[in-house]
Amino acid sequence: MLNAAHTAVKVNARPIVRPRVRRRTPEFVLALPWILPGMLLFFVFVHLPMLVQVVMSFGPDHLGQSFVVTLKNYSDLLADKKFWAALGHNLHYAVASVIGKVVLSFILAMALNGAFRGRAFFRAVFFLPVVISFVAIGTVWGFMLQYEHGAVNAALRALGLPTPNWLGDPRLAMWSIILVDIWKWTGFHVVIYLAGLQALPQEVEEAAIVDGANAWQRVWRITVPLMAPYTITNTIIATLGAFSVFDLVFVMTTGGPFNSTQVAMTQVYLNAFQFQRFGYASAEATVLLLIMGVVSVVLLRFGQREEAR
Amino acid sequence: MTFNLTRRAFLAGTAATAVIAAAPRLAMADDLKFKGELAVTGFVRTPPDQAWADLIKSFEAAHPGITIKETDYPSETFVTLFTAQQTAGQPVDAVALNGQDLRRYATNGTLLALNDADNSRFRPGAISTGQVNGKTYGLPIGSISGFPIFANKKVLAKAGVSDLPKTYADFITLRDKLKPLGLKVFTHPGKNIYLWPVWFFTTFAQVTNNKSNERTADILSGKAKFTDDDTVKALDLLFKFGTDGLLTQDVFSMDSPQALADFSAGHAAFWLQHESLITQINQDKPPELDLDVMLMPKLVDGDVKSQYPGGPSGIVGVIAKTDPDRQAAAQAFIDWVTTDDADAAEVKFANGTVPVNTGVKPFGGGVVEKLVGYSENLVTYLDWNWPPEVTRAFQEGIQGGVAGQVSAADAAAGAQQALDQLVSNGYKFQA
Amino acid sequence: MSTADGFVRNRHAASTLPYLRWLVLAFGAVAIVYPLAVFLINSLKTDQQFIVDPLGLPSYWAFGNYVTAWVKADMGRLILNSLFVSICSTALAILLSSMLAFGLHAYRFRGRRAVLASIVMMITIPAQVYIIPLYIIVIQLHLINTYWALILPYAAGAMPLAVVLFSNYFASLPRELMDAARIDGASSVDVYWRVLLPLARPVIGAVTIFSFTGAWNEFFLALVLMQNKDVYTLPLGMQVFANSAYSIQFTLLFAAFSISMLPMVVVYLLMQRQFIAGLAGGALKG
Repeated sequence: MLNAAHTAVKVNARPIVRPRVRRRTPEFVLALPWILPGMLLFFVFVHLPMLVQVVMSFGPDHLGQSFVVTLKNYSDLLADKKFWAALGHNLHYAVASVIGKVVLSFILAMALNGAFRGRAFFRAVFFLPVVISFVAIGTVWGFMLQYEHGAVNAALRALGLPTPNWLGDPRLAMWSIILVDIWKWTGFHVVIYLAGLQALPQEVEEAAIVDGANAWQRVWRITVPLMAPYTITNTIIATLGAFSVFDLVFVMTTGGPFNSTQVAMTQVYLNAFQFQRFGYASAEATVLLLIMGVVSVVLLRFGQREEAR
Repeated sequence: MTFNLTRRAFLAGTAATAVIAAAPRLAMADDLKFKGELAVTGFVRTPPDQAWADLIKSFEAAHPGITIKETDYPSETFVTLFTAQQTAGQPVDAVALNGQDLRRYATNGTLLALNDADNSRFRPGAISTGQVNGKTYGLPIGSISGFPIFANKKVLAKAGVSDLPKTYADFITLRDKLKPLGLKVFTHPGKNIYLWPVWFFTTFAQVTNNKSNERTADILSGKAKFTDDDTVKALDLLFKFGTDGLLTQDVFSMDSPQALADFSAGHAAFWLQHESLITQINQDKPPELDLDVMLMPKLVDGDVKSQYPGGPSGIVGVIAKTDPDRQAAAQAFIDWVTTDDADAAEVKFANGTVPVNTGVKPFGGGVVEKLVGYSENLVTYLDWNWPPEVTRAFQEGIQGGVAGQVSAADAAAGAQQALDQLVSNGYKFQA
Repeated sequence: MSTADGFVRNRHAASTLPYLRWLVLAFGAVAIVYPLAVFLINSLKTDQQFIVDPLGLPSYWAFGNYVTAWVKADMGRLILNSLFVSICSTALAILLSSMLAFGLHAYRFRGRRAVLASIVMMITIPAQVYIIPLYIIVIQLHLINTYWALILPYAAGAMPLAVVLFSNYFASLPRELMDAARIDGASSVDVYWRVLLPLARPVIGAVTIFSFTGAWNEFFLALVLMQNKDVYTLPLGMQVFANSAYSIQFTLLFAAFSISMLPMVVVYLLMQRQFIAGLAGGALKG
């Protein structure tokens, strides 16, 4: 998906629509009416906020104070243990959810690959949680995981198993949220992997069988490496999702218990909308943005190297 | 804040104020110069407040030519959105605020200082919320409600206890009797940090000899500190509920719905909860619950009253920076919605216990009547004066402290640190 | 846990591997369906029964919960609002993105690459990261509390992926097609509207799906930019409802949420193949 950008730009040299007028109107002017509306919308609602945010982060704490360029927000940020702890949670979230999603979706995609009855049904089922909103899912699971009255613990109790405090135990809460996130998104990654699996050339596989490789070896030596671009795609999507996560945490735990599930975006929300510290929150968001940018570039480079191999 | 007026004085006052309260309404007929649209900003209420809607309609009917345009924001984002509304220059004439936001808008010049003429029609505990620096910036609406301790008599009966606890030791005895039955002393929605400070308000009121609001004013203006003895002691008393097993670990996984389920199913003897529980219980009628209400027993020595934290449902005020004709109309509007009849309608609709207007008799008997009897012991929520960063520090500190993770000294230090940082960024408290 | 037999179409008969596949699939399906089923079943219980028995079947089927939920949460309005916002933002995204892709494709000028890159690089950045200035901009434009407060940002948010998909698609079409149209005297508008767009149906389908779904389920921007309950979209309305005075009436909440999940699920079930084809197509292009 991300290489598409490169493909799209390598367009043909010859323009296809050449006006037959004597005076050559510049191509740019002709293109303008097509490009302008989209660019205008995009500029006002994406580029502009990003620029304003960076500018605001160098300004005063609260709105309404006179604007003086200062690094105070950033120096406060460096000293803010809560924010760095939250970023640590994002990292934890990223590692755990990416591994979970990639591994599970790979397994499920492998299981789904191949023509058999009921395949469409299973594929539909796995993808179902993807289309349901985070708020609904967070609420559903919030009730399921409740310590005393939740269905999960009720089932465990009936089986005589220990009943953990999924959302109330600070050591467990983050894992519980990650679990729900994986539950929701795995189907999405399954579809991506499935598309890749079905595009695989059969010859390599069949040659390996002829050579006497067993199933396990075929998976590890052939399938996994060939699936690398899709793994990269899935990893990037999942990682960026983990760093910008908000909805699920907000609905399930609002950062608790004991701040164990605070993430960068809940910090931004808290500072901006509860303490009215817009300048500071902008600094936090800018730092988060930078981190996400770095992460995506690193992963992309890694992916390109893998593809070259 | 202590109320030296007795119930008798309240009732004596009502006869006189009833006439005065009615009078402005008669005089208002249609002598307002302003005609057009008045913009009122309020907060979202669920279920939608029909009594309020009716008041708006009757105002419009009594003042032909004036229409009310209402914009409501959700409570939790109210401050941000209202501030944004003003920054964007949208016209606002009157506001209906949550009590905790009154101070902010009174001190930053948003609200107009009202004349004090008819304030006697309100209960002291209600009108005091709208007053800053001796001036009145807002009038209370609805009812004064607070957080008493609700008891389940059935659970007490199971423990073989017939009287409500009168001392801390009684709680301990009860705990020992309930434990073998698998029952708890207190339940609480401890998962959210928001409701923990209510416990603190209760203990701090006792520790400060019923001067919790005065002490808070001192601390916020720098004359004292959160790290002084009284705050630390109040926190200690509260954390003991955790260490002594009166509040057990499972409260930290419960939200309000689960706490309600817990209490309704008879798993706990007590719940420090908002009075609206009464309405809920009357609706649900859970079989395992026989509701009673009490205040926190005396936890300290000395001649101290047990108080419970509370405040009025809402405050209405007038915006300062509008032209005089609009202001007069807005003032007429807030007078309209704060008459005795208006208040009676609001309280009836919302099933409130103690109306803010002294001229309105409380509704309901049984537990409600007991609560009305306690209403003089109401003390305004301290976090209606705290800046939000301090509130958050307390919320987190108290939750951690009851869980045994944070000491009282550290929790207090956390709050003081938050205050210090605000002060260094220019915060100044105005009493 | 490997199920490599997926590759070998009908080669491997018997052996334990097929059973392994079914085991994995069954386990996955149950893990997905069970929580949703429990939730649905609980929505049909009364509160009293739910408190005591969260796992069992309802002893009394409280269908009334759904009626009450619909009314109390004002779900009719929420759904209409979400529908309006989602449809408008999707239509706008498709229009602007295809026009933009066309402009980049049909004309040659310096800076084409820059224009495309400036949009595509935002593909990975979610709107919540710049919510604060976005909020201020929306206020300054006097759009706050209107449907446009959401329609415009949603459309902008869908543009990166849409532009990429359209660009790729246009680039993959044979040159002759457009040359032939030009020779016949078609103007650029004709080429766009009569030739390219109809051909781009698969892409339009894919963009429709992810844009509509994204807009329908979006919560954060709605939370910040919409305050008047008349214009709440579904996720926001549900969250407010879940935290309102009804927050303690569990089964009512469950019923409300079940209703809220329904539209998307129905659309998805009906358009399953397009959903998945669109996603897979996008993945392959990458």
